[in-house]
Amino acid sequence: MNGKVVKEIAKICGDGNVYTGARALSRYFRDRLSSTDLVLVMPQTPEQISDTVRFCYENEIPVFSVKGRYMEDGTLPSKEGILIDLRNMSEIKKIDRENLSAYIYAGVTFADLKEKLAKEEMKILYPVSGTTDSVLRSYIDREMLLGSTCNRHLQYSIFHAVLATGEMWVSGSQQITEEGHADFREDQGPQMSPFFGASQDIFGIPFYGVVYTYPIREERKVVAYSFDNLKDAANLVYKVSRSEWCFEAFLANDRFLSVTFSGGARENVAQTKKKLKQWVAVFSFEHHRELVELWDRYTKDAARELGGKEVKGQTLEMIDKALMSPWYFFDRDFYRGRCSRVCGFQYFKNISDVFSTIEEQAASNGFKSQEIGKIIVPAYFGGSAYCEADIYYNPENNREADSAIKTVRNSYESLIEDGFFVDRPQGDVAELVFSKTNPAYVRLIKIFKSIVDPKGLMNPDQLIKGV
Amino acid sequence: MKSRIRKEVRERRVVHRPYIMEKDPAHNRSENLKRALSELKEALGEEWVSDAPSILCGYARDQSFVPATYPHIVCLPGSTEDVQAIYRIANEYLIDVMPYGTGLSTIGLTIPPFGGILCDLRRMDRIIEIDGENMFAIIEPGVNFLMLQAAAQRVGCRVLNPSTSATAGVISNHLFCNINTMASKYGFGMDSIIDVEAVLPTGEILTTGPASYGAVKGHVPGPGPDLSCFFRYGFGTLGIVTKMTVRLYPEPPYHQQIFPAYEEDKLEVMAEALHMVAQDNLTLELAHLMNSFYGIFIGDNNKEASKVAELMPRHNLLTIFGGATQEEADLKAEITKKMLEEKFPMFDFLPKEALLDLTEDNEFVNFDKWVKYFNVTVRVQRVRGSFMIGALIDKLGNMVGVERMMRDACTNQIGTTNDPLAPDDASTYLQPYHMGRAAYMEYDLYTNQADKDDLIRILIGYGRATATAMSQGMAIAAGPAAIEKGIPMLDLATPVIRPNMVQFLDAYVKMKMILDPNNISNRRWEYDTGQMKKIVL
Amino acid sequence: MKKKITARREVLAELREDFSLCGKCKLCQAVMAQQCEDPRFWRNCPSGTRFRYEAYYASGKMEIARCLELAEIEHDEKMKHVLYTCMLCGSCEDRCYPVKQLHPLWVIELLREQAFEDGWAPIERFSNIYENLEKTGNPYGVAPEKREEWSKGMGVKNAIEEECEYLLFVGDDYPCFPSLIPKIQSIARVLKLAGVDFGILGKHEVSSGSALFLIGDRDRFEEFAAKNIENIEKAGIKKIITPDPHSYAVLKEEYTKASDIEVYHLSEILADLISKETIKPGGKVNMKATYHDPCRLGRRHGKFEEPRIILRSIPGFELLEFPRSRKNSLCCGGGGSVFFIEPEFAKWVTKERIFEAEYIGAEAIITTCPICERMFMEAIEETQKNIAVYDLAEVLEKSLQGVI
Repeated sequence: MNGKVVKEIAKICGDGNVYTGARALSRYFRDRLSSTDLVLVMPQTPEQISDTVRFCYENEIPVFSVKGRYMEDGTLPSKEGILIDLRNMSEIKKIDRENLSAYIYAGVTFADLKEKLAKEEMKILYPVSGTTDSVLRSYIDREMLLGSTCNRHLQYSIFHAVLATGEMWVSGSQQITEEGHADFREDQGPQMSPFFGASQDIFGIPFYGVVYTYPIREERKVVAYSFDNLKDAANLVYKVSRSEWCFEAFLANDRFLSVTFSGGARENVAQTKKKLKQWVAVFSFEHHRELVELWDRYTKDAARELGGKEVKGQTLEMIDKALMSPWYFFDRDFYRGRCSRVCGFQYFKNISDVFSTIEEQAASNGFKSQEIGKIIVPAYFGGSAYCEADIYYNPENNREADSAIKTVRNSYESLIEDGFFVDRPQGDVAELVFSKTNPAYVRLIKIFKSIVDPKGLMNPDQLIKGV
Repeated sequence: MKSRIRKEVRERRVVHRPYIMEKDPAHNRSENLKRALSELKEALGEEWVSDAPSILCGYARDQSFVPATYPHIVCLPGSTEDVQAIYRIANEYLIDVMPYGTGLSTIGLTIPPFGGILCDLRRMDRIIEIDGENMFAIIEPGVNFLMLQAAAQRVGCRVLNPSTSATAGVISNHLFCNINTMASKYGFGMDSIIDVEAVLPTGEILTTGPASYGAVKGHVPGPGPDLSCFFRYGFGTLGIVTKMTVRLYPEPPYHQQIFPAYEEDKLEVMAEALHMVAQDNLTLELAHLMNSFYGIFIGDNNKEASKVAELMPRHNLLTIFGGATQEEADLKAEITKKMLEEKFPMFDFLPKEALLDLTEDNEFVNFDKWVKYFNVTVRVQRVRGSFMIGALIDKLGNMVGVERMMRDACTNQIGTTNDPLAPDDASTYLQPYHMGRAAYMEYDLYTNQADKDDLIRILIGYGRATATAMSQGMAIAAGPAAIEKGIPMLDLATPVIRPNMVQFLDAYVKMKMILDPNNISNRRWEYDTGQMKKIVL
Repeated sequence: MKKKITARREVLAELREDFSLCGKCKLCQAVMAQQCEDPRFWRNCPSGTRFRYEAYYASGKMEIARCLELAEIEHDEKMKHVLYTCMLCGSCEDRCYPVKQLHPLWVIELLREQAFEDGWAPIERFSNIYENLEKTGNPYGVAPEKREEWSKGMGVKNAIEEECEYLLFVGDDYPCFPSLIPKIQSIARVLKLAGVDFGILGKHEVSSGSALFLIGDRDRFEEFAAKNIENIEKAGIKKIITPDPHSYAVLKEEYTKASDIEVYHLSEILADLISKETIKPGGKVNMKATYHDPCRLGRRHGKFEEPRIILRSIPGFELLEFPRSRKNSLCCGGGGSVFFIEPEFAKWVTKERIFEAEYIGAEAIITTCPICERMFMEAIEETQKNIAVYDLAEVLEKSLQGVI
């Protein structure tokens, strides 16, 4: 991109907030970057984002936004345009203890917010397989959360986003009221703000929002039960979720847990796995002491009936501790160098079929089934189950890398045929899903896109090719 | 003996049918209507299309004060294909189309402003699928809460409880209302929409969410951008929803209740208590009810309602707890009671027996069932025949002060004192959303449509109360932007008074103009040089 | 002008408050919300369920009344259909009155009366009834002599010639249909077994006028009512038993305004005798059956318990309840004189009720209304369903035979 443009943007955002060159941008890409035409911009204020985007719009420069630790689109570095990273907008504007919410900018991380909230005796829900450490980003992108079991799925009420033209989109009740009044998610007309969720920012870049917080209760207890088979373990998770006894719940296999709990040290994985049974169902109970005791008792009885064995000692401590922080997907790369996943939703009764399909595909590509990390998180009181299978592989080994990619793609193809619900498809999976959706679905997305971004400059091709 | 009133009018047979007539209309031309009628009959079957005045008149009014307007044709589609056919014919002949769910609108939403085709969807009344294990139901627009609640209970679930008539449509409530569910723990309104199938004004079918590619109901939005709530507050301007998957929530097998009550007329105290209980998040259903509301909801008739209102303390919390065992439900109730007793020693706790006694002789409302099926009737409107609802959202902390101002504004006007609102005039209730992060306030003013003086008095009172609330920054619960857009003064004022709404409204206008190029779906505007202007007669 | 035997009735305009205040809450379409346990059976308005337009529900007819009064519309063919496909079952009134204190049924009845007064009632559709009534004094055209044939050889008193405590007012239907003859005979036998001193008017009993009353022809109704009152007075009887709820309704609501008589439905008398243990049903009747509440007896006059007292007293009898029973009872299809002009629709409703009986596993439907019985029997014959129809008295008789 020509220097004049860079200078102009630097004028808007300040010299220290605009970067060019592969070195500055390599952190956003998994693969080694030799050169790039992208200009990295790290605005610090809403005005800076707005002015930058407006400048780009006027000069027909594509705008890309950082959506996670790594950009999913591998072709991006060769494209011309600017890449906006909002990490410098890290102000926590307000913490509202009374109304259990936090007013934050997109640069606020889980770690920052966790620390601030702890002082107010509050906490937030953490992602199961987060791709970003930005709280707002994670919530608006609807990443699956560990507490989705017994808490409504969406964890934000209002957001502000910058559109391609530099104008501001304000969602929900703040369309008509000033901040300080109701923070209510609904738009004052047809609900168009939900379009922004998991949209790869093709409509606009959310930079500010109100997220939900939770009070720290009198008592919290984490319990875990191990099982030899998936069916019984899943039945327990369904029962406990459906009865609304737990705050968080999940069910994972030994491979997933050993990778997650090894603290990024590859040498610990095997050792941790040895301590675990094939499946472990985990629940946290939070509330008044008497209730926690009651729920614990009920869960224990139910687990016993289903043949579960209580997990105690170090393993339980490890689980308990792990639940206090977000789980990032990229943190699993350490094990074999890279992790790919298949994730989406299926009914509890069909969980086994999901994993069998993935295992079948994995086996045909040379992956052993016991090497696949598996986690199941109930959504909405057990109404459905988030199923994720992680394939760990060595990216340096081209054959293995190809096999992993093939396993994931074939698994999705086959699962989608069977009704697997992929809620936030990206890249190739998005192409696959949107080729299956009813044509009007994509047409509506395109219409809205043409309205808020007539020149098609905001994150082009990031959700669907050509959009 | 002939009717004495208006006898002379009847004898002269002067028929004046209220249509709102446009000057030189491009839409709804009589020659086109004739052709459309015969094509509609061919498409839907003779039986399901009518232009008989005796059929049309049933759709010209609702319980609101919106002036009566007759549709020109009424259609009863029986399938999505029928709805597509209606749009096809309407596009061909430029006839307006107004969707009509179950017809319980309280604010004139289904009264066609300029006539045209009224599309009564009650023939589409199938519960296509109900799944208790995975907690969802796929339904058509004619399905009402009465049938869905009964169906849900049979599979161990509940559908969220709006305090509307049991015969209100589930889909239309999810699209236009349903903000006042008591079980806000499980979400409200849009949270309960899993996916929809809709016919766009061009006749194209849109399916969203899991239905967009025949996936399982994942209970989360997607795939990608969430389009499932697009039609919420669209008021039929963007198409007609023909199917919806709604979320059900688990019905615990055991229940318990406590009845905290406070005699003094201090809403702030009750609001604080409500907030505390909401944050504790143990209740299955939670709301604050004034004595007048209690009377209206559980009284068997007006007389009973007054009696109940008199007997009940001024402020009451409706709390229902659920549990997998009675022990669990009891414990939740006990904990909440203890918590309230500590913080609010001035509260009474009414014995359940006392409330059971109140309805013991009632033939129509059984208290025990009432707590299970809160949605028994539109009881609020019965006091004097009709009512106006003010539905506002704010934080609970802000609400109390505003409510006081509103009450002053309207009670002075409607002639009661500043003392507790007379049940004959108005009632208020508060209800927290999602652990008390926001709250919903409803104030209902009762009036007799047939009594002009009363109507004017109440209308002014309502206007003053609403204006007070708006000036204090409260949000209107049912986003009216889609039908407010295009009012000249409001359009001019929006950038100044509601700058945050400019982009949203602009997007809505463009969306509408693209999706409905012939401007037929709930037409209220003229398309004019890229803008929509309200039709001025 | 014939003599007016009843008090002045309201005219439609006097119910303006009712039709103006309808809030369109649509509760009138349904059973009582709290009593709906099965989504299959939530509807309770026969004409609305079949024809679906708003006008076919009570709320729509309230609107027709309002718009007629405001002179926004005139009567049209559709309006006639709307008005005369209502079965006047009164379910709407039962839902509406407790909540809003409105009287939709009354409005519909008065709309029909106004249709007659204004001369637009579809009288041509009822020409058969009028012809029959003119010729035979009965809407079905059965001659007076033939109407008393059922009682021959039964030792039933002639009330005009012999003294008796009660008059058994047979009504329009029982003596006119061969399928109903055994039922009225059973009724007479039960009354005799119970020791009730009763007689009949025989050929002197003319139509109760119920059919005319239902279609809104008040003047002609009054002619027939006057004739019957004259004969009742001639017989000098003060207490009347009728097994026909349609007759019961007009006798009790209208005749009593002009004559000093006490009117009982058969089930009231029998339930009373059973409660007092004057009669004791002792014979086992092994039957799993459901009781259908006739609209005019149940909803209109609140006689829900009496028939059930009788049935519960019968050893071996298992009483099943319809999902829609008592106040929620669905019309059998025979209400409102609709079957005279829309027989197919009437049968459609009957079939729905039979489906409901089958749904709960009933072997038989018991009722105590000749129209309901006839509707059920005809529909069952047509559909070849394996379900029996009994009059309440028939079941009781089975149990009473030999045991009293």
